[in-house]
Amino acid sequence: MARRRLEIDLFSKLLNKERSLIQRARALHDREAYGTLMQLHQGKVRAFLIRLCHRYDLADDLAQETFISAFKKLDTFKGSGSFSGWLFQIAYNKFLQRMKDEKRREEVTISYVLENAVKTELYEGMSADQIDLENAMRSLKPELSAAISLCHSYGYSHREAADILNTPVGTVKTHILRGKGQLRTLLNAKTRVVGSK
Amino acid sequence: MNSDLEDKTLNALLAQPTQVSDRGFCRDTLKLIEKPAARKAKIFSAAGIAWLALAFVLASPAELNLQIQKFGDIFLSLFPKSLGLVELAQSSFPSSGVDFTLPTIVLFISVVLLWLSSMTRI
Repeated sequence: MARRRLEIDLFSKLLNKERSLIQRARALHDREAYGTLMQLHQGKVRAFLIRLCHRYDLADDLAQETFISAFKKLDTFKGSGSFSGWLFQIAYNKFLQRMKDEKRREEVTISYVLENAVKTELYEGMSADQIDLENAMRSLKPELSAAISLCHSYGYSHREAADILNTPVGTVKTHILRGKGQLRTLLNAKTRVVGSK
Repeated sequence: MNSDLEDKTLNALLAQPTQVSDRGFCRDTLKLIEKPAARKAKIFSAAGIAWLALAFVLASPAELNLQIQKFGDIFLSLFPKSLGLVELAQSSFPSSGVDFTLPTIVLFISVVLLWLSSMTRI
């Protein structure tokens, strides 16, 4: 109980810090404040984009575009939802736009499959199970990966994820179900291969 | 990992989101954010100076002419007479009929200087 309260306190402190940083960045165009905000969120936004586009260079390009665009549009952030949710929304739209522009969804998927080793050195403290999971995530379609990441990895509700991805709640639920099924199959297959060696 | 991965196990695994380490990402992105802002500030200040100059010209052209002449005097006094700026200008445009008075030369030099400065990136 005490631990839970401590977590809530910590979370509300973080939220307050984030709010004041957003206000500073918005009202004064304070780049330092925005830099701190970026430090708070870059890790998960970039990991999310890597899961979507399966390419590290492209993911970083899109992440940069996301943060630059978010800085320019900071005035439009109403604060009704979470700031990270807003960032994920911009990132996902950037990803879709890039795919649409370049018409290379298949190309990206192929390069994703070819580039199948997770660059563990880019991540912060990855366990062996997490490496397996990230490898398996690479085989999922972007929409499945996005729904699973938002709801299971970053703690958004189905409703919030649906808003971020601009899809109906039912579709999000279907994507999660289908994606998790695929992940289970992939991870089980991997375990069997390792076990048989 | 269990051979038959349970939903609980998968959920627990998914609930530990991976984070990409910074490795200069924030610094590089901030630079990209600052670049257009700095350029915008320079363009605004240049536009401000141009506006002031225009206002000055429109307010008092005679005064401006006097100022240019004074500036020209100072400018030409810095060079030895043997340089022959007037002769140089006249020989460059022999049949143009342009009156190469001091203000004209000063204006000519100013235009050249402005052109040279415009060659450098703002």
